[in-house]
Amino acid sequence: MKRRGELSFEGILGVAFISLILATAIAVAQFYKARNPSDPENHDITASYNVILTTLREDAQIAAVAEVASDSFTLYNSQSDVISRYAFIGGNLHRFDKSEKGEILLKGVESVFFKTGDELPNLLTVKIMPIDRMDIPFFTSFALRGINHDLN
Amino acid sequence: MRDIIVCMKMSLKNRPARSHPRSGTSLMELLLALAVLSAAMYPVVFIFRIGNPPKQTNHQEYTATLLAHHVIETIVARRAVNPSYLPAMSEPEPVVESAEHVEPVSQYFRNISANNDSITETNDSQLFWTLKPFKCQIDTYYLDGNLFKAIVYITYQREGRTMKVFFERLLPQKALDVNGEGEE
Repeated sequence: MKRRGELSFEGILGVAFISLILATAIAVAQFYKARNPSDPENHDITASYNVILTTLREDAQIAAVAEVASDSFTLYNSQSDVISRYAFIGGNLHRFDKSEKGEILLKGVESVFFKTGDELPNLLTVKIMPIDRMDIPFFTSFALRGINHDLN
Repeated sequence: MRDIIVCMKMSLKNRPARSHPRSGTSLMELLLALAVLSAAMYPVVFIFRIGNPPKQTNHQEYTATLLAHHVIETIVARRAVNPSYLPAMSEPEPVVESAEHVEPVSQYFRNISANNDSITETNDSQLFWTLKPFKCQIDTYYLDGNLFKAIVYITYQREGRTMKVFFERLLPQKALDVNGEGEE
């Protein structure tokens, strides 16, 4: 005699199987979400910073001089030819190559600070403050190796 | 022979009647198959995850990497100006100036603000609070073949543990003659 409210063995098994299927579906959905960089919730500023780091490192390998202004700097090689120009325009960080073809490296920038030292004119320090205060600032330096290739 | 046939007919009649498969059993089999298939996805997903290393999303680790990059690049720039320059060994030192720190600011972070000072809470609040947990330590080694090894450690605390990010660089050093003067 089955008591009121009592589940059959098949019912319990069914609930267990459905729970397993649901758990798997949630796990796979979360995995997909974590792996999908286009999802705005997974916005990671370090991906954009990696692009800036890589681009600036490549330019610094051949740059000999950096001409710094308040919101921009231009890199020149040892023959005083322009390599690239980086500029903070309208809340975005742009890079312009020698033919002035521009690309946006980072959006949502609050302020930038570029500096070369008096003692070390061949060291370019870059600071980028994002608008979103939850994001980390970008702060590092780049040695301009264009004068002395032995440094590479 | 006739008796045998009669017995066979009897035995067929006495065979318990097979119940028709109930719809509940079919549903259970379907659910079981789905559950097994679902469970089989775990290792597939796991292997896929192992095959694709996760992105570097730890912001503290990323900032430490940028700071270590800053120190190494400063050493490279100093050697470009003065080829005999070799970095000195140092204890873990803060990278920003704070009243809480008794140690002096690391020499690689003393002139990094707009007015050629260390970063303080007053001159750059946001960067100050970002960089405050980090310390910079330099280890140096003399190696065979007139080589000098500099290792830059950026340390920070994470969940009660001291984490380290380090960059190292081999630097050719000048051979010292008897007068202590360097030569290439």
